[in-house]
Amino acid sequence: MSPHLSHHWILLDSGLWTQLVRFWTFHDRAVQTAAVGMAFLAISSATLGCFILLRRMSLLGDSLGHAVLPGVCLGFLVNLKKDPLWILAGALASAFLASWLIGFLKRHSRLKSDAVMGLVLSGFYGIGIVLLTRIQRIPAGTQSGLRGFLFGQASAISERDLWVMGIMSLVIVLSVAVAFKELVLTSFDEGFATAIGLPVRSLHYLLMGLTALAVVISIQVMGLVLVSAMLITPAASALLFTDRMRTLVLLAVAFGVTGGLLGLNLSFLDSNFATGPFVVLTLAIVFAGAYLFSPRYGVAVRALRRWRQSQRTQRENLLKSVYLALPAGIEPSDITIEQLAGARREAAVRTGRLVRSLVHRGWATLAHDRVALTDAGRRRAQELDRNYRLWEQFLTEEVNLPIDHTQRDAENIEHILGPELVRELEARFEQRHA
Amino acid sequence: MSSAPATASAPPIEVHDLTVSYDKKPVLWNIDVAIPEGQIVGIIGPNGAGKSTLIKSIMGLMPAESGWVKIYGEPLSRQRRLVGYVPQRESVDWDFPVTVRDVVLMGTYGRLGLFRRPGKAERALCDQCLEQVSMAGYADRQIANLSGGQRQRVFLARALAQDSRIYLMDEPFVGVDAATESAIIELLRNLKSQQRTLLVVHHDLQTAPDYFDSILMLNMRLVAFGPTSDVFTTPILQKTYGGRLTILSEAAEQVAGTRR
Amino acid sequence: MPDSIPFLPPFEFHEHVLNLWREPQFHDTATTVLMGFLVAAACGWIGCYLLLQGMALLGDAISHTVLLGIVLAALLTGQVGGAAMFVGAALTGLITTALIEALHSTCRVKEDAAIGIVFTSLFALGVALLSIFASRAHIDTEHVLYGDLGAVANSEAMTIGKLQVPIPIAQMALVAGLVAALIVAFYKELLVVSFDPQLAAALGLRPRAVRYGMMAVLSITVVGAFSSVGSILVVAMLIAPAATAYLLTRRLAVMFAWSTLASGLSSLLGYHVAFWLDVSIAGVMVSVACGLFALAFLFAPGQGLVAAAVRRWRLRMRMHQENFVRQLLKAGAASGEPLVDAGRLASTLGTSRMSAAWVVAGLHRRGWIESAAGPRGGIRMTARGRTQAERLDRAHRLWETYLVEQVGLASDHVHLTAEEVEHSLSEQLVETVDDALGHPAIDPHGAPIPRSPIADWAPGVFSLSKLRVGDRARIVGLTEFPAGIVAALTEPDRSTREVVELGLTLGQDLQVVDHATQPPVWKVSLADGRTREVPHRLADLVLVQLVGVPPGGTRR
Repeated sequence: MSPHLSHHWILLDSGLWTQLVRFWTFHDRAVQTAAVGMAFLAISSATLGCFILLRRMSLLGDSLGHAVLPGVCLGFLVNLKKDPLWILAGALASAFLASWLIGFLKRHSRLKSDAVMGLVLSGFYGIGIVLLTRIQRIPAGTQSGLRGFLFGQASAISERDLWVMGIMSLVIVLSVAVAFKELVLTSFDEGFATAIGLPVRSLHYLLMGLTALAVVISIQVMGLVLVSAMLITPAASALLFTDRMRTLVLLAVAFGVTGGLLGLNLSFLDSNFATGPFVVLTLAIVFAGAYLFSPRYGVAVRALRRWRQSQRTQRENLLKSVYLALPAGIEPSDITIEQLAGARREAAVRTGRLVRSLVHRGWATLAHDRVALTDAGRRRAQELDRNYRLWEQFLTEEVNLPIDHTQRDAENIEHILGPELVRELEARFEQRHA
Repeated sequence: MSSAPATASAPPIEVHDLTVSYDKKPVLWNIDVAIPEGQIVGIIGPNGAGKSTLIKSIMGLMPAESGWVKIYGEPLSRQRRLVGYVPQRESVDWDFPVTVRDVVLMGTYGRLGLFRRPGKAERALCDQCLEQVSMAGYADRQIANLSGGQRQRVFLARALAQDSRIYLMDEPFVGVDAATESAIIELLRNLKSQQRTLLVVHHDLQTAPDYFDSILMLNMRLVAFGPTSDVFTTPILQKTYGGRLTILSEAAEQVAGTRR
Repeated sequence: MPDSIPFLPPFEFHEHVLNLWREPQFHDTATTVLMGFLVAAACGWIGCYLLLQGMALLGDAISHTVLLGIVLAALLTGQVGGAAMFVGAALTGLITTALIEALHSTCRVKEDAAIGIVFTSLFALGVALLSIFASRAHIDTEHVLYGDLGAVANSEAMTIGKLQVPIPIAQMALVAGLVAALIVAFYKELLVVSFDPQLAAALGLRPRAVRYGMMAVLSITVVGAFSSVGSILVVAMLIAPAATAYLLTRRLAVMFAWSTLASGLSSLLGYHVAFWLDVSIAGVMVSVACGLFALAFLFAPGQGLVAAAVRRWRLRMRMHQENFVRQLLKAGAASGEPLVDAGRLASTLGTSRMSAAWVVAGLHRRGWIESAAGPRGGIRMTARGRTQAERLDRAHRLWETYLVEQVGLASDHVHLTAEEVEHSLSEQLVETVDDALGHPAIDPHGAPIPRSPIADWAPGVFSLSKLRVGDRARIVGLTEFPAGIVAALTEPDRSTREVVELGLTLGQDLQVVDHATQPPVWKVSLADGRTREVPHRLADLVLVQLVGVPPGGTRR
């Protein structure tokens, strides 16, 4: 354990609740510094992550993250101290070298871009490991704290680090704000952007440069191995909630900061915990929540919606079959569930359940096993039947489908035709047959 | 309205001795053509004839190997604002989190210049453009929820927002419904009546003679260019779609072979 | 004093190389190098398929997430190693693949982002569990980051036959053997799936099942490698040897061989360098593997950067040389004498005097030119050079004629394109162009086109269509298999009869008195003074031998 971890020992002696309170009131200096740093890096990474995600460059963050290791080590070797400016300079240099190398190898070899990135990523990392293990052999290196860069150690950041992070995040956020419209356009439609004379290449390099910057200021807290998660995961979570670019960026930042602070809190529970893995875990939980429950794109929400729709379709089909089974004018109270089930070729239990849901909606009554439609039910059934016929007619006459092909399409669509469309269809056929 | 053309007498688009290669293989050989003002011009030719390549190299999206392109007598870099561009629909990711209005507003970016935000005037223009393509009700929709025809209309509205003298359109009629197709051609004619010049890549021979005032027949080289009645003839069509092209494409392969 | 330890210790061949292969260090060296080799080779073999299928990213992801399986197995069984770990890892590999697939197929997150999210999350979970249950898992986080290849030699050993084999080596050997066996057994299936998944599906090979199988095998390999190289460096083992091999060959079987060789070299060199610097062996192995890739990237024959540069330079030289002899030909024709001043030619070529000197030297070497004796100096083309120059001049002028007449370009700007094309066209294509144009004698600028140097039938035997106005020739044969493509399209039988009906018979002497190209017709006068008009397709059938002037000779 490194000595500089000791300044949040106080947190560990008390119970979980006290720890939580102490963290979230930001009472301790160490917690303050770490939280502010986390906020800085979350804001800058999540902002850039939105563009990285939409340009499908997700692996780039990962590559740059791993690739900074040799630079960090060389930055340390300059004066055998963890001087934030030298480390920053080394890391940036090595990130730029890596991204140039990626581009160069892609242009001049047959290798696909994912292989090139994987190669550069692990190659730089390997060289970095060699340097790191070498540094640990020399006396100044054994307590260098460089290992904190691998999985992140938020408690290791100093106030001087904080200044550097703050200024860099400001640069990143301002650059994105100023060039927002240009960045969105080049990410969406590069050809058009070139056509109207935007400096597409410069914008690409700007984005790469800012990403390298964001990665470099994040590694101390997030660790270089997992730094890419702060770029992609908040942005991907946000993408499941919104269709607006501005909202996307704001949401991503919100997710990044929330997840980051929660993770930071977790990692402070034990002095042996690295920060990165816990932050990535909370970010992943946020994403999982969005993936399942986002109102628009959530998988669980959509499944529920589909299930409701299929229930409705079954219910209304039953309503229609009750209605159609009764010749006009005959009192509708003499159909039994068995008869209905027989006509629909399904189990009586199932029909019974559907009938009860009709009753529940006030469309039918059930007395002594006999089904009768209420007025409301009859009206809905007539409406459905009419929709069905209109659609069928539309398909045969306008789309020219043979009549036997129309059946299935019409069966499903009748339930979802809106009143507007029905009116339009009616008008169309009235005109035709007048 | 855009600024007046630099030289009144110069044609909207002049292409001189333009040779373009794709992946080191020449796909367009020494194209020479001058597009007259105020016409709807169709680019017609078989698959792989270099139709899109021609449009893209006029727009400066593909580097030319030889020759030059001039817009009203000046190089493109000085005249970009006079040229509107409608790329192929598949060229973008329609899941992108932008609305219809955002996309149309992109048409005003060229005029706005770097780092300036679109304001009220741009928004009004954008609504007006959407009105023209009958998409006003869709302004706040996300683009993923649009049909093929609607997407094409959005692209056209964006081009309208560019308010250019010249429009280059890459296959605007592909994969759209009949209603959209007639709406598009209506729009093109409307633009033409304002003395704008339109260069349209097209692949449907059936409709070509109705749509275009002039036709540019292309198959790796310029086969013919002129008024539709002169050019849209059986011999020229045969020359474009059949003809002895084996030599040209074989030579292109061999040139690419030496360069690799 | 500890400060006296230098960052870069001095290298001593005896201590850092030779001694390692002698007792008492031999055992450690051999086991470590063997382990490194097994890890790199097994990863490299799978890596070949990952690379070919464009799944390097997925491999990267799985090598990270396997950690979760390892940690869970360690927590559940309370021990590191053993079958549980392999099962756990294989399961995590499959779950990773399935999760990624589920993510990008059910929501608007694209594949690359899905991979990024899944692997960082599962890997983070693994590391978090490891740090929470640090006392129970017996795995150090340092292990995860770069493994400990050196520890293999000191680990518990098992007895196989008479040999004492460390358990990790036995495990890894088993894994490598499994990978190799699977590749040998399913070589053809894997080839189809990698090359064309759709075809594979059509053949009933179920590419998706194959992919999942591969991921399971990959996970097992990563577990075997885990204790030696950790979770991250293994990515390099997957990609670097395979990528090196990919640059050196285009055949899958050969690729395996190269990747095995690269694995062996990185293990061996890695060990020695690591011993010298006293650093992580796995780290050096990866650096060496990437260094080997760099070498292949620079020096691979054919595709390497250097080879490509040499090829481009040669091409430029060839173009200069060819242009030079063509200029010589032109200058000679203009002044009527073959002696030319080299400096003046350099300026007409638009090159520097330096590179002109290079070009001239090259031409000397190829025997296309020779230095002229006499007080004025200068250079003279040899017969061989003249043939080449004419071949080039012919290609150039025919191509221009083709562009003007058939492609319909204006004659003032065909020159530029022809300048480059002439160096690329094959002789056969030039002849095809010649035939398609009706064997013209002059180009659009009015300059003569050199005649075809290619004999059609036997040495010195040409078809009549290649004759020029003024040529005298003797008919030596008729062929039903004409040289030109135009004639090949017509029925040979009738054509032969038509030739006979024209009155052209064997042994007759004739002289070409006129030649039109549109349509191509040759007017020939026969020995008896009569003239005949021979159309293109018949002219292709009549084989003649020149009388007097040899083909490609000086008369132009």
